[in-house]
Amino acid sequence: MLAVIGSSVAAITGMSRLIVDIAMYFGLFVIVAMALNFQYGNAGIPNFGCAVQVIVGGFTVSGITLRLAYWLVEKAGVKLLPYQTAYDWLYNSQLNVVTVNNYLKTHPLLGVSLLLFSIAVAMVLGAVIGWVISVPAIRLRATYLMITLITMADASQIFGRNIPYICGGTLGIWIPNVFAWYPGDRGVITAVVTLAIGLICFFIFRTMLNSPYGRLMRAIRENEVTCLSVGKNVVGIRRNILMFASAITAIPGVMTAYYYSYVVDAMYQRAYWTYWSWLMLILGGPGNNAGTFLGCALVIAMRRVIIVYKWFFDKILFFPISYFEQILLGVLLIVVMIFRPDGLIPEKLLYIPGVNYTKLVRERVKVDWRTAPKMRLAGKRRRFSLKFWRR
Amino acid sequence: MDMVLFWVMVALWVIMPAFIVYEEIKERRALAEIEKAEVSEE
Repeated sequence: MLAVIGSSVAAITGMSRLIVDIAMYFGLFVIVAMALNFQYGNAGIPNFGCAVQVIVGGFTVSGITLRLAYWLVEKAGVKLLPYQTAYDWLYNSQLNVVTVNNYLKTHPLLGVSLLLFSIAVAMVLGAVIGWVISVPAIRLRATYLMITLITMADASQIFGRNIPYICGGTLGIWIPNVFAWYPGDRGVITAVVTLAIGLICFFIFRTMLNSPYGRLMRAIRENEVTCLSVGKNVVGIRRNILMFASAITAIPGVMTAYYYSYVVDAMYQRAYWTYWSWLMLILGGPGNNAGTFLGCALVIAMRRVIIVYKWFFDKILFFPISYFEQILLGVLLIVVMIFRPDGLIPEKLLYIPGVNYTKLVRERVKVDWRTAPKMRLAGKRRRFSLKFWRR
Repeated sequence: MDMVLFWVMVALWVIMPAFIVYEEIKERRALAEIEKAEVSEE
Protein backbone atom coordinates (compact mmCIF):
# COMPACT_ATOMS: atom_id res chain seq x y z
CA MET A 1 0.00 0.00 0.00
CA LEU A 2 2.76 2.43 1.05
CA ALA A 3 4.73 1.51 -2.07
CA VAL A 4 1.73 2.25 -4.28
CA ILE A 5 1.18 5.60 -2.56
CA GLY A 6 4.91 6.39 -2.66
CA SER A 7 5.11 5.74 -6.40
CA SER A 8 2.16 8.01 -7.12
CA VAL A 9 3.43 10.86 -4.95
CA ALA A 10 5.88 12.05 -7.62
CA ALA A 11 2.81 13.56 -9.29
CA ILE A 12 -0.17 14.14 -7.01
CA THR A 13 -2.70 11.99 -8.84
CA GLY A 14 -4.97 9.06 -8.09
CA MET A 15 -4.60 7.66 -4.58
CA SER A 16 -2.20 10.38 -3.39
CA ARG A 17 -4.65 13.05 -4.57
CA LEU A 18 -7.37 11.40 -2.50
CA ILE A 19 -5.06 11.34 0.55
CA VAL A 20 -4.18 15.03 0.11
CA ASP A 21 -7.88 15.81 -0.22
CA ILE A 22 -8.79 13.87 2.93
CA ALA A 23 -5.90 15.47 4.88
CA MET A 24 -6.95 18.94 3.74
CA TYR A 25 -10.55 18.42 4.74
CA PHE A 26 -9.47 16.84 8.01
CA GLY A 27 -7.37 19.94 8.73
CA LEU A 28 -10.25 22.28 7.88
CA PHE A 29 -12.94 20.47 9.80
CA VAL A 30 -10.80 19.65 12.80
CA ILE A 31 -10.36 23.40 13.41
CA VAL A 32 -14.13 24.00 13.15
CA ALA A 33 -14.94 20.94 15.30
CA MET A 34 -12.37 21.92 17.96
CA ALA A 35 -13.79 25.44 18.13
CA LEU A 36 -17.28 23.96 18.39
CA ASN A 37 -16.11 21.61 21.13
CA PHE A 38 -14.65 24.63 22.90
CA GLN A 39 -18.01 26.40 22.74
CA TYR A 40 -20.53 23.61 23.14
CA GLY A 41 -18.56 20.78 24.70
CA ASN A 42 -16.92 22.90 27.37
CA ALA A 43 -18.99 26.06 27.77
CA GLY A 44 -22.42 24.75 26.75
CA ILE A 45 -23.01 27.38 24.07
CA PRO A 46 -24.89 25.73 21.17
CA ASN A 47 -23.31 27.61 18.27
CA PHE A 48 -25.28 26.73 15.17
CA GLY A 49 -23.63 29.56 13.28
CA CYS A 50 -20.30 27.96 12.37
CA ALA A 51 -21.02 28.63 8.70
CA VAL A 52 -21.25 32.39 9.42
CA GLN A 53 -17.74 32.47 10.81
CA VAL A 54 -16.30 30.29 8.05
CA ILE A 55 -17.98 32.46 5.40
CA VAL A 56 -16.36 35.52 6.98
CA GLY A 57 -12.96 33.92 6.35
CA GLY A 58 -13.82 33.22 2.71
CA PHE A 59 -15.22 36.72 2.13
CA THR A 60 -12.14 38.26 3.72
CA VAL A 61 -9.98 36.65 1.05
CA SER A 62 -12.29 37.56 -1.85
CA GLY A 63 -13.31 41.01 -0.66
CA ILE A 64 -10.20 42.36 1.05
CA THR A 65 -7.07 40.32 0.28
CA LEU A 66 -7.83 40.10 -3.45
CA ARG A 67 -8.15 43.90 -3.69
CA LEU A 68 -4.98 44.35 -1.66
CA ALA A 69 -3.12 41.92 -3.96
CA TYR A 70 -4.32 43.82 -7.06
CA TRP A 71 -3.32 47.13 -5.52
CA LEU A 72 0.14 45.91 -4.47
CA VAL A 73 0.85 44.35 -7.85
CA GLU A 74 -0.27 47.50 -9.65
CA LYS A 75 1.96 49.59 -7.36
CA ALA A 76 4.84 47.31 -8.36
CA GLY A 77 4.32 48.45 -11.96
CA VAL A 78 2.42 45.45 -13.36
CA LYS A 79 -0.48 46.38 -15.62
CA LEU A 80 -3.84 44.84 -14.65
CA LEU A 81 -7.20 44.96 -16.42
CA PRO A 82 -9.72 47.37 -14.83
CA TYR A 83 -11.53 45.98 -11.79
CA GLN A 84 -13.36 48.98 -10.32
CA THR A 85 -16.90 48.31 -11.58
CA ALA A 86 -18.89 45.20 -10.69
CA TYR A 87 -18.73 43.99 -14.31
CA ASP A 88 -14.94 44.40 -14.54
CA TRP A 89 -14.43 42.97 -11.06
CA LEU A 90 -16.19 39.80 -12.20
CA TYR A 91 -15.22 39.31 -15.81
CA ASN A 92 -11.59 40.46 -15.60
CA SER A 93 -10.94 38.43 -12.45
CA GLN A 94 -9.53 35.38 -14.26
CA LEU A 95 -6.95 37.29 -16.32
CA ASN A 96 -6.01 39.58 -13.44
CA VAL A 97 -5.44 36.60 -11.14
CA VAL A 98 -3.18 34.96 -13.76
CA THR A 99 -1.11 38.18 -13.89
CA VAL A 100 -0.95 38.34 -10.07
CA ASN A 101 0.08 34.66 -9.93
CA ASN A 102 2.91 35.31 -12.38
CA TYR A 103 4.10 38.14 -10.15
CA LEU A 104 3.82 36.01 -6.98
CA LYS A 105 5.96 33.28 -8.58
CA THR A 106 9.01 35.49 -8.15
CA HIS A 107 7.88 37.17 -4.91
CA PRO A 108 7.35 34.47 -2.26
CA LEU A 109 7.45 36.96 0.61
CA LEU A 110 4.44 38.78 -0.80
CA GLY A 111 2.56 35.48 -1.13
CA VAL A 112 3.25 34.50 2.49
CA SER A 113 2.40 38.03 3.67
CA LEU A 114 -0.94 37.90 1.85
CA LEU A 115 -1.73 34.57 3.51
CA LEU A 116 -0.84 35.86 6.98
CA PHE A 117 -2.75 39.08 6.34
CA SER A 118 -5.84 37.11 5.30
CA ILE A 119 -5.69 34.93 8.41
CA ALA A 120 -5.20 37.94 10.70
CA VAL A 121 -8.03 39.99 9.16
CA ALA A 122 -10.33 36.94 9.07
CA MET A 123 -9.66 36.34 12.76
CA VAL A 124 -10.45 39.96 13.63
CA LEU A 125 -13.65 39.93 11.55
CA GLY A 126 -14.54 36.49 12.93
CA ALA A 127 -14.23 37.88 16.45
CA VAL A 128 -16.46 40.81 15.48
CA ILE A 129 -19.05 38.34 14.12
CA GLY A 130 -18.69 36.39 17.39
CA TRP A 131 -19.54 39.56 19.27
CA VAL A 132 -22.55 40.17 16.98
CA ILE A 133 -23.69 36.58 17.60
CA SER A 134 -23.24 37.00 21.34
CA VAL A 135 -25.73 39.90 21.43
CA PRO A 136 -28.79 37.67 20.84
CA ALA A 137 -27.03 34.80 22.64
CA ILE A 138 -27.24 36.70 25.90
CA ARG A 139 -30.94 37.40 25.57
CA LEU A 140 -32.23 34.26 23.87
CA ARG A 141 -32.68 30.74 25.15
CA ALA A 142 -30.82 27.86 23.50
CA THR A 143 -33.50 26.87 20.96
CA TYR A 144 -34.20 30.44 19.83
CA LEU A 145 -30.49 31.12 19.66
CA MET A 146 -30.04 28.12 17.35
CA ILE A 147 -32.77 29.39 15.01
CA THR A 148 -31.25 32.88 14.97
CA LEU A 149 -27.78 31.54 14.17
CA ILE A 150 -29.03 29.26 11.39
CA THR A 151 -30.81 32.27 9.87
CA MET A 152 -27.65 34.36 10.18
CA ALA A 153 -25.70 31.74 8.21
CA ASP A 154 -28.25 31.86 5.41
CA ALA A 155 -28.34 35.65 5.50
CA SER A 156 -24.56 35.91 5.10
CA GLN A 157 -24.72 33.56 2.10
CA ILE A 158 -27.48 35.69 0.53
CA PHE A 159 -25.33 38.81 1.00
CA GLY A 160 -22.45 37.09 -0.80
CA ARG A 161 -24.71 35.91 -3.62
CA ASN A 162 -26.22 39.30 -4.29
CA ILE A 163 -23.32 41.69 -3.82
CA PRO A 164 -20.71 41.00 -6.53
CA TYR A 165 -18.11 43.17 -4.80
CA ILE A 166 -17.84 40.64 -1.95
CA CYS A 167 -17.28 37.35 -3.76
CA GLY A 168 -18.42 37.82 -7.33
CA GLY A 169 -22.10 37.03 -6.72
CA THR A 170 -23.42 33.79 -8.21
CA LEU A 171 -20.44 33.42 -10.54
CA GLY A 172 -17.83 33.52 -7.80
CA ILE A 173 -14.37 35.01 -8.07
CA TRP A 174 -10.85 33.75 -8.66
CA ILE A 175 -8.27 34.05 -5.92
CA PRO A 176 -4.52 34.43 -6.44
CA ASN A 177 -2.35 31.48 -5.56
CA VAL A 178 -0.33 32.65 -2.56
CA PHE A 179 1.84 29.52 -2.99
CA ALA A 180 2.63 30.30 -6.64
CA TRP A 181 6.34 30.41 -5.72
CA TYR A 182 6.17 26.71 -4.74
CA PRO A 183 7.22 24.60 -7.76
CA GLY A 184 5.00 21.56 -6.92
CA ASP A 185 1.33 20.91 -6.30
CA ARG A 186 -0.64 23.69 -4.59
CA GLY A 187 -2.93 21.23 -2.82
CA VAL A 188 -0.14 19.56 -0.85
CA ILE A 189 1.37 22.76 0.52
CA THR A 190 -2.09 24.13 1.41
CA ALA A 191 -2.88 20.87 3.24
CA VAL A 192 0.42 21.05 5.17
CA VAL A 193 -0.23 24.66 6.20
CA THR A 194 -3.83 23.83 7.21
CA LEU A 195 -2.76 20.83 9.30
CA ALA A 196 -0.02 22.91 10.94
CA ILE A 197 -2.61 25.59 11.81
CA GLY A 198 -4.85 22.81 13.17
CA LEU A 199 -2.03 21.58 15.38
CA ILE A 200 -1.37 25.09 16.72
CA CYS A 201 -5.11 25.56 17.36
CA PHE A 202 -5.18 22.25 19.23
CA PHE A 203 -2.40 23.38 21.58
CA ILE A 204 -4.11 26.74 22.13
CA PHE A 205 -7.44 25.07 22.99
CA ARG A 206 -5.71 22.47 25.16
CA THR A 207 -3.90 25.16 27.17
CA MET A 208 -7.07 27.18 27.56
CA LEU A 209 -9.16 24.20 28.65
CA ASN A 210 -6.60 23.11 31.26
CA SER A 211 -6.33 26.62 32.67
CA PRO A 212 -8.53 28.06 35.46
CA TYR A 213 -10.53 29.76 32.68
CA GLY A 214 -11.31 26.35 31.17
CA ARG A 215 -12.54 25.11 34.53
CA LEU A 216 -14.67 28.24 34.84
CA MET A 217 -16.15 27.46 31.42
CA ARG A 218 -17.10 23.99 32.57
CA ALA A 219 -18.54 25.42 35.76
CA ILE A 220 -20.76 27.75 33.72
CA ARG A 221 -21.88 24.82 31.58
CA GLU A 222 -22.75 22.77 34.66
CA ASN A 223 -24.42 25.43 36.77
CA GLU A 224 -24.75 28.96 35.57
CA VAL A 225 -26.63 30.19 38.65
CA THR A 226 -23.87 29.06 41.02
CA CYS A 227 -21.26 30.89 38.95
CA LEU A 228 -23.40 34.04 39.02
CA SER A 229 -23.84 33.72 42.78
CA VAL A 230 -20.06 33.70 43.34
CA GLY A 231 -19.69 36.90 41.33
CA LYS A 232 -18.58 35.57 37.94
CA ASN A 233 -19.53 37.60 34.89
CA VAL A 234 -21.25 34.77 33.01
CA VAL A 235 -22.43 37.01 30.15
CA GLY A 236 -18.94 38.46 29.63
CA ILE A 237 -17.30 35.03 29.73
CA ARG A 238 -19.77 33.65 27.19
CA ARG A 239 -19.13 36.61 24.93
CA ASN A 240 -15.36 36.09 25.17
CA ILE A 241 -15.72 32.38 24.37
CA LEU A 242 -17.89 33.11 21.33
CA MET A 243 -15.52 35.80 20.07
CA PHE A 244 -12.42 33.66 20.50
CA ALA A 245 -13.93 30.53 18.93
CA SER A 246 -15.40 32.58 16.06
CA ALA A 247 -11.99 34.04 15.31
CA ILE A 248 -10.52 30.53 15.09
CA THR A 249 -13.45 29.24 12.99
CA ALA A 250 -12.81 31.94 10.37
CA ILE A 251 -9.41 30.37 9.51
CA PRO A 252 -10.84 27.34 7.61
CA GLY A 253 -12.76 29.80 5.41
CA VAL A 254 -9.47 31.41 4.40
CA MET A 255 -7.74 28.09 3.76
CA THR A 256 -10.68 26.78 1.67
CA ALA A 257 -10.46 29.87 -0.52
CA TYR A 258 -6.75 29.29 -1.11
CA TYR A 259 -7.19 25.54 -1.60
CA TYR A 260 -9.61 26.06 -4.49
CA SER A 261 -8.18 29.46 -5.57
CA TYR A 262 -11.81 30.40 -5.95
CA VAL A 263 -14.59 31.76 -3.76
CA VAL A 264 -18.33 31.48 -4.32
CA ASP A 265 -21.03 31.69 -1.66
CA ALA A 266 -22.16 28.09 -2.39
CA MET A 267 -18.85 26.81 -0.99
CA TYR A 268 -19.91 27.93 2.48
CA GLN A 269 -23.25 26.24 2.86
CA ARG A 270 -24.81 25.99 6.28
CA ALA A 271 -25.50 22.27 5.87
CA TYR A 272 -21.83 21.71 5.11
CA TRP A 273 -19.98 23.78 7.70
CA THR A 274 -22.49 23.70 10.55
CA TYR A 275 -24.25 20.33 10.43
CA TRP A 276 -21.25 18.22 9.46
CA SER A 277 -19.19 19.82 12.22
CA TRP A 278 -21.96 19.09 14.71
CA LEU A 279 -22.15 15.50 13.49
CA MET A 280 -18.40 15.12 14.08
CA LEU A 281 -18.73 16.50 17.58
CA ILE A 282 -21.75 14.38 18.53
CA LEU A 283 -20.25 11.24 16.98
CA GLY A 284 -16.88 11.58 18.72
CA GLY A 285 -18.27 12.84 22.00
CA PRO A 286 -18.46 16.47 23.14
CA GLY A 287 -16.24 17.76 25.93
CA ASN A 288 -12.98 16.08 24.94
CA ASN A 289 -10.50 16.65 22.15
CA ALA A 290 -9.90 12.95 21.47
CA GLY A 291 -13.60 12.49 20.66
CA THR A 292 -13.60 15.53 18.40
CA PHE A 293 -10.60 14.19 16.48
CA LEU A 294 -12.06 10.70 16.17
CA GLY A 295 -15.44 12.01 14.98
CA CYS A 296 -13.72 14.32 12.51
CA ALA A 297 -11.45 11.59 11.11
CA LEU A 298 -14.34 9.12 10.70
CA VAL A 299 -16.75 11.52 9.03
CA ILE A 300 -14.17 13.07 6.70
CA ALA A 301 -12.76 9.71 5.60
CA MET A 302 -16.23 8.31 4.94
CA ARG A 303 -17.41 11.38 3.09
CA ARG A 304 -14.40 11.66 0.81
CA VAL A 305 -14.37 7.95 0.05
CA ILE A 306 -18.09 8.03 -0.81
CA ILE A 307 -17.58 11.07 -3.07
CA VAL A 308 -14.55 9.62 -4.86
CA TYR A 309 -15.90 6.07 -5.28
CA LYS A 310 -19.46 7.13 -6.09
CA TRP A 311 -19.57 5.15 -9.34
CA PHE A 312 -18.46 2.00 -7.59
CA PHE A 313 -21.23 2.29 -4.97
CA ASP A 314 -23.74 3.13 -7.68
CA LYS A 315 -23.54 -0.43 -9.02
CA ILE A 316 -24.28 -1.96 -5.60
CA LEU A 317 -27.04 0.31 -4.29
CA PHE A 318 -30.67 0.31 -5.34
CA PHE A 319 -31.30 4.03 -4.67
CA PRO A 320 -29.72 7.18 -6.23
CA ILE A 321 -26.10 7.44 -5.18
CA SER A 322 -26.26 11.24 -4.71
CA TYR A 323 -28.13 10.72 -1.42
CA PHE A 324 -25.93 7.90 -0.11
CA GLU A 325 -23.55 10.22 1.75
CA GLN A 326 -26.35 11.98 3.62
CA ILE A 327 -28.29 8.77 4.31
CA LEU A 328 -25.26 6.90 5.66
CA LEU A 329 -24.14 9.69 7.93
CA GLY A 330 -27.69 10.46 9.06
CA VAL A 331 -28.16 6.82 10.03
CA LEU A 332 -24.79 6.90 11.78
CA LEU A 333 -25.90 9.89 13.84
CA ILE A 334 -29.15 8.18 14.84
CA VAL A 335 -27.33 4.96 15.79
CA VAL A 336 -24.83 6.90 17.92
CA MET A 337 -27.60 8.90 19.59
CA ILE A 338 -29.47 5.70 20.49
CA PHE A 339 -26.62 3.42 21.54
CA ARG A 340 -23.92 5.87 22.63
CA PRO A 341 -25.51 9.23 23.49
CA ASP A 342 -22.22 10.46 25.02
CA GLY A 343 -20.36 9.79 21.76
CA LEU A 344 -17.71 7.22 20.92
CA ILE A 345 -15.33 8.66 23.54
CA PRO A 346 -17.37 9.98 26.50
CA GLU A 347 -16.20 12.98 28.48
CA LYS A 348 -14.04 12.20 31.49
CA LEU A 349 -13.27 14.09 34.69
CA LEU A 350 -10.78 16.92 34.34
CA TYR A 351 -7.26 15.80 35.17
CA ILE A 352 -4.60 18.30 36.16
CA PRO A 353 -1.33 16.84 37.50
CA GLY A 354 -0.99 17.48 41.23
CA VAL A 355 -4.64 18.50 41.74
CA ASN A 356 -7.17 15.91 42.87
CA TYR A 357 -10.55 17.50 42.29
CA THR A 358 -12.53 14.50 43.45
CA LYS A 359 -10.72 14.63 46.78
CA LEU A 360 -11.19 18.39 47.05
CA VAL A 361 -14.92 18.09 46.44
CA ARG A 362 -15.36 15.25 48.91
CA GLU A 363 -13.10 16.78 51.56
CA ARG A 364 -14.82 17.31 54.86
CA VAL A 365 -14.14 20.71 56.38
CA LYS A 366 -14.41 20.77 60.14
CA VAL A 367 -15.85 24.03 61.43
CA ASP A 368 -16.31 24.80 65.09
CA TRP A 369 -19.59 26.73 64.95
CA ARG A 370 -19.28 27.88 68.59
CA THR A 371 -16.27 30.04 67.68
CA ALA A 372 -17.71 31.21 64.37
CA PRO A 373 -19.80 34.20 65.72
CA LYS A 374 -16.79 35.45 67.66
CA MET A 375 -14.65 35.32 64.54
CA ARG A 376 -17.29 37.22 62.59
CA LEU A 377 -17.46 39.93 65.23
CA ALA A 378 -13.71 40.19 65.28
CA GLY A 379 -13.72 40.64 61.53
CA LYS A 380 -16.32 43.43 61.76
CA ARG A 381 -14.33 45.21 64.43
CA ARG A 382 -11.19 45.03 62.33
CA ARG A 383 -12.97 46.43 59.27
CA PHE A 384 -14.43 49.27 61.34
CA SER A 385 -11.10 50.19 62.83
CA LEU A 386 -9.44 50.16 59.43
CA LYS A 387 -12.12 52.44 58.05
CA PHE A 388 -11.69 54.79 61.00
CA TRP A 389 -7.95 54.87 60.56
CA ARG A 390 -8.29 55.70 56.84
CA ARG A 391 -10.41 58.75 57.69
CA MET B 1 9.57 18.47 -3.61
CA ASP B 2 5.98 17.23 -3.56
CA MET B 3 7.12 13.92 -2.14
CA VAL B 4 8.78 15.59 0.88
CA LEU B 5 5.76 17.76 1.59
CA PHE B 6 3.43 14.82 1.07
CA TRP B 7 5.16 12.84 3.81
CA VAL B 8 5.34 15.93 6.05
CA MET B 9 1.58 16.20 5.61
CA VAL B 10 1.09 12.53 6.45
CA ALA B 11 3.36 12.92 9.51
CA LEU B 12 1.39 15.94 10.73
CA TRP B 13 -1.83 14.10 10.09
CA VAL B 14 -0.66 11.09 12.10
CA ILE B 15 1.19 12.97 14.87
CA MET B 16 -1.79 15.10 15.84
CA PRO B 17 -4.29 12.29 16.65
CA ALA B 18 -1.51 10.03 18.00
CA PHE B 19 -0.49 12.70 20.51
CA ILE B 20 -4.10 13.25 21.53
CA VAL B 21 -4.78 9.55 21.97
CA TYR B 22 -1.55 9.18 24.01
CA GLU B 23 -2.54 12.10 26.24
CA GLU B 24 -6.09 10.80 26.63
CA ILE B 25 -4.87 7.33 27.67
CA LYS B 26 -2.37 8.89 30.10
CA GLU B 27 -5.06 11.04 31.72
CA ARG B 28 -7.55 8.21 31.96
CA ARG B 29 -4.94 5.99 33.60
CA ALA B 30 -4.04 8.73 36.10
CA LEU B 31 -7.72 9.23 36.93
CA ALA B 32 -8.18 5.48 37.38
CA GLU B 33 -5.17 5.38 39.72
CA ILE B 34 -6.57 8.26 41.77
CA GLU B 35 -9.91 6.47 42.03
CA LYS B 36 -8.19 3.24 43.06
CA ALA B 37 -6.20 5.07 45.74
CA GLU B 38 -9.39 6.63 47.08
CA VAL B 39 -11.12 3.27 47.29
CA SER B 40 -8.19 1.78 49.21
CA GLU B 41 -8.16 4.83 51.56
CA GLU B 42 -11.84 4.35 52.38
